[in-house]
Amino acid sequence: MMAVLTPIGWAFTGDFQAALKGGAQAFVSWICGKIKSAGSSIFLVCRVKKVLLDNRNEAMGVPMVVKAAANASLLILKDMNSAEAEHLKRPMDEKQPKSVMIGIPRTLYYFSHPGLWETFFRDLGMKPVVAEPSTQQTVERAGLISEAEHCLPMKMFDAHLAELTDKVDMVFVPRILSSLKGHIACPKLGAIPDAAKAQLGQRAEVLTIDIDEEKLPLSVSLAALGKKLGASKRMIKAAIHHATEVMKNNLARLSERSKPEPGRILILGHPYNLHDDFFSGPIIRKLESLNVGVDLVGFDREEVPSVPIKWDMCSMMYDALQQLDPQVCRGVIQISSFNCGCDSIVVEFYREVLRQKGIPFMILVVDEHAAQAGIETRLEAFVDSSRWLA
Amino acid sequence: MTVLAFQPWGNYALPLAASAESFGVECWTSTSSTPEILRLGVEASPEFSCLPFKASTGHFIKAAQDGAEYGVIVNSVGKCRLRYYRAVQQKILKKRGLDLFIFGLGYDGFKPPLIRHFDPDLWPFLRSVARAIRKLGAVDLLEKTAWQTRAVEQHTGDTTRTMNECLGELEKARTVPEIRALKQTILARFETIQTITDRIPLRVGLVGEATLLSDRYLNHNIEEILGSLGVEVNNYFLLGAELRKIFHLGLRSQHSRRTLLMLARPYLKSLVGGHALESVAYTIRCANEDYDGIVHVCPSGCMPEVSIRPILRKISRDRDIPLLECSFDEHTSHVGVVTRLEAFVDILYGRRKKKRS
Repeated sequence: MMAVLTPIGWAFTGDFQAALKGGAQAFVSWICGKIKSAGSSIFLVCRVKKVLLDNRNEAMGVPMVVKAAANASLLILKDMNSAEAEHLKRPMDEKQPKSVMIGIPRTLYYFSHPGLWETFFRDLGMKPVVAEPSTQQTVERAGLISEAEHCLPMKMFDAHLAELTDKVDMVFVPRILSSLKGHIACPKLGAIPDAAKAQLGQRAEVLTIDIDEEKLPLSVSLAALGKKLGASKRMIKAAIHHATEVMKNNLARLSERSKPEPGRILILGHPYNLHDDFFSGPIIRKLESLNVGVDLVGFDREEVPSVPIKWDMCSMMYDALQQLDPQVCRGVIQISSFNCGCDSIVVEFYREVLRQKGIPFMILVVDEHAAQAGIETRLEAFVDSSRWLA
Repeated sequence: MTVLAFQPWGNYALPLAASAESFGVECWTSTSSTPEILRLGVEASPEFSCLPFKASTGHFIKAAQDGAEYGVIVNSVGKCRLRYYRAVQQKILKKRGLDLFIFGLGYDGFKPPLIRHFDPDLWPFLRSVARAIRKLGAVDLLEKTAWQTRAVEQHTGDTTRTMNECLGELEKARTVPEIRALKQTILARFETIQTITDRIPLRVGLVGEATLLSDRYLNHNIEEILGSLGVEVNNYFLLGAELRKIFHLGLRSQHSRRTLLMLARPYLKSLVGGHALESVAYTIRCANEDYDGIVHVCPSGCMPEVSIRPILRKISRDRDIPLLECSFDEHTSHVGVVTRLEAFVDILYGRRKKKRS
């Protein structure tokens, strides 16, 4: 739009050097004034399907439908379902309170509490913005800006934060000290709000809250967060109820198992590795292409019986391994990220359990340089050798 | 005689060994790791585990090979990998067919299992603990004096020699009066070392992970390298202060957890785990006390220390105090460490010159 308007503005004023007085906003207010004075209304965020000019010719470039009106063009919303159209047909005049944009990185706690944060903030009338899914570019960016000795998810976290800072009013970084009663979280998560503050400085505000389910249930922490944001008590209560409901459903859905047929492979990994398509997608797809049934380890646990591991996610995985049936499970593959402190130690515990059960176990470490060919070769070899074992 | 292996902890191995005298055991320990210990540990440990884990695993393997039957290691209730050292090391030793049982020290009820097992008589035990506390004080004093003297010594190596003599005598000292008498001579002995009178040494704070700060082999003798470059170091790991913090003695002291939390508050509002809070708080203290620089020492991939690095960098920027981040693993080259430290000290001298002119 600006690419079109700017040259018109220049031509109009006859000055091709200086910027227009009032900046880019001037064009917008000018064109709004013109449209309104012509008695037409303005729609925000429209999808233009086809442009019809006065002489019934179609405009260049495909998707637009414009019926020529007296002075201004009216955009017609055709070929859209009613809900979409309703959403788009919000006139500009209706003064809506500007909702606060809150950024959520698509790593770590986004995956360990799926759906919770977005739902909660949306219900409180804010606009949650989740960072784009990780890609190779994200990894490259992470390598440049992040601390060199972090584990990969932490590096990705830094890259996501950097991506979000330009788009949002504040970023949300909770301090997760424990997400399961009687257990503790990875110590790195205890430092990230402060580290994020140190890294972002003045560029973005960091919203944080302590989540310590060892001391307080999640709903109490969320209530404190809502209070911090100045929402009413009733609103907070409803939001908490809705958000935890969504999270529970998501967790149940993610850990859903198909019927226990023999010869399946269980994939182990922290939620932020397991459910991030960038890390686990190629591995799962490869296994499926090899005609192997794949199960993902589930994290929909309210409590875990006493296990020697104190880290919350790791103890859930350990418990899942203990309940594993060697008749059903052909092998276990762990997706671990490079330099993960938790995995480096608890792997010894996993290995012991699986050795007792006689289930083959393989660890795939993903990092910035993970090569697809290498991973595929290892998966093929693992599946082949587990076939011989059976 | 039963042999009990102690976790390596720098020069603090002496007081730790003294504390077990009443058990009627022989102590197997050393004041620093060795290449052999590290090699054994690296072979046996999980690939991505941290350097202190590898070193102490190697230490226990060596002890078991030398005939030790029991071992002692700090059994942390913290958040980092230290918590699982004992369990994993026990598995490793078992897998290798070595018969060494490791006791976890502390936090397991009023009577730790170690004491329950050996069940020493009360009085001899208390006496040996008193000796250990005395020795601990003497080692703390030795370390502090050595840092100051080494920076201005005329002939390189004098301080280290004197210190080793004192440590040797301290090891032999058996009674509290003996230790007290020895402690009183320490200052006098160090004063006999010839010093360069017109040198004002640079002051550098050493912060970071405890094992690396105290083990001379693992940290490539960072204290001596800096000392010989004319730097007075202040190593913020002193076991005396650490123990007082653990047992909540001296709540008002400048090393108590409460004081440190208050100090670190603008930058870090959580304990994180390990010595992360200490690193942040002592970095701020160094800045407050006008130190010339800070060296942050940690094992490569250390969970708490690595995650607070952005915070340390921010403090360094905010307070205009140079910060050198050194991380160590079994592949770290000694020459590389020396070069980095020399370059850092050069920068500090340059800054001082600029400030004065």
